[in-house]
Amino acid sequence: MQSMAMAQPASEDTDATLADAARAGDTAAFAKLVDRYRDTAFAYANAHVRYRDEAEDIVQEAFVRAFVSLPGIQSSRSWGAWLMRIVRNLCHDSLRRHRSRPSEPLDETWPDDRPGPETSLLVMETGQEVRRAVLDLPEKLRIPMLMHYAYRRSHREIALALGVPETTVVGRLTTALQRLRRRMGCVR
Amino acid sequence: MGLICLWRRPQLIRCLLISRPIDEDPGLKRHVDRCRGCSEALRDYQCFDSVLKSHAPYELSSEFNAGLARRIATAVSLAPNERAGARTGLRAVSGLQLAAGLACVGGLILWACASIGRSERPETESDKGRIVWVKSPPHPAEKSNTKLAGRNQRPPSVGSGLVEPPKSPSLERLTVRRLHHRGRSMAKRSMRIHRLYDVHLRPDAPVDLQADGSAVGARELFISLVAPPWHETADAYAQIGDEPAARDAYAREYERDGNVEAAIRAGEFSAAAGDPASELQYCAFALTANR
Repeated sequence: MQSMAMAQPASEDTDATLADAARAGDTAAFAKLVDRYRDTAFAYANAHVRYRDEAEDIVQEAFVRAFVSLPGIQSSRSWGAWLMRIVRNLCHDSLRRHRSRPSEPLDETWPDDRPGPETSLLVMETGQEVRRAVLDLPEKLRIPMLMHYAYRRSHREIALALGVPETTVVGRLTTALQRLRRRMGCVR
Repeated sequence: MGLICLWRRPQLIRCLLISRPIDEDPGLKRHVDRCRGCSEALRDYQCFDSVLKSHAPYELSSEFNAGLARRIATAVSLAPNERAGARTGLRAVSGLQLAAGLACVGGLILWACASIGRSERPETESDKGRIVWVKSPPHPAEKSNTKLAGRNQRPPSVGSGLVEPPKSPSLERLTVRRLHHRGRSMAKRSMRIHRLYDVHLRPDAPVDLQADGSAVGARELFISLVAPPWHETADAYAQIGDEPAARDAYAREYERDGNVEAAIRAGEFSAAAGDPASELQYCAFALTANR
């Protein structure tokens, strides 16, 4: 599903409009907001906690909290950033609760380990190594890498999810790729 | 890897990340064509890019929306009760924290009261040996009228160089405590310097008042710079009731400055210390100097 987060053409409703409508009781407006942000929120949550079920649970909980808190929000202009802040806090809480969790499985983080029809065996083997190397990156670099490559989020969406400028996201991706090459060394 | 390569590599990656062809930047293209390292790096990054994108993007499960709708419905139906419960819980937590905070403050107040009570309790027999009445620094004009304030000696009157007792008893105690503290700290400092002086400079023999002060070395000069004046040191000693040390300090001042007043005070402190021979000696020096 192609995300529509942050990409709001003039013809479409803005976040503020939708949030105001949802606050007035328009559930369809809230559904649009959910449709706009759920993929980005899930990408961040899954890249962060690395458990699919838990990531979905976090995203659902974030939307529930956002819905319940709609009457109380001061400004609905930055609704997306506010929602992502809820997601980030929930992710941190989750990690704090499961600090003693053992090493995360690979297939929970990457979408599907099965190669496509055009993928050669060499690429598949190399892919496993590269993915392992990505997972070994520090969190600051790993999350943007996973959001960009595993979830195909745009730089703007990653920036929104992380709460940093877009240039920072590009910089972190650049650093991550450089470290990846240094780590892999001989990979062509 | 050269400096130009260090500069060009991030540009290569950015082109890759934003899917912009390298040909759009002629300088970058020219560098990659010429530089073997950068062309290899470009191939590596392209390989990573293709490998990492070789999978379909991760998608949410199809039941996500249905689960979310159920949770929202449950939350809305439970919201008033939950909010009420949350508020109660918050109040309970706040009440606990408030109680703990009040207990801490109360404990502090009790402790402070107890310590004040200890310091303001009536003087007992056991305290008499420790409490020293504090004498104010003597004014130069009043120096000649000042009398020795011995151990446990209370100030007799105003104008004798001693502290005038304030009207209020609590204020009086406070003033005395402050002066006592100041005198003690000054005496401590003097004692430190004196100890240094005793260890390094002071001869074993009694103070030789005929000695030439100018002949003393650099170490004494240093001590004289960092130490308070001798008469202040003597006052500090007097405040804590150390008459021999006060006598020595005044003797030092007389030795250095030839101050007759210092010799007289040294004699007085010799008497207070129970050393009549020294008292006579210092009085004799004072008389000699006057002549």
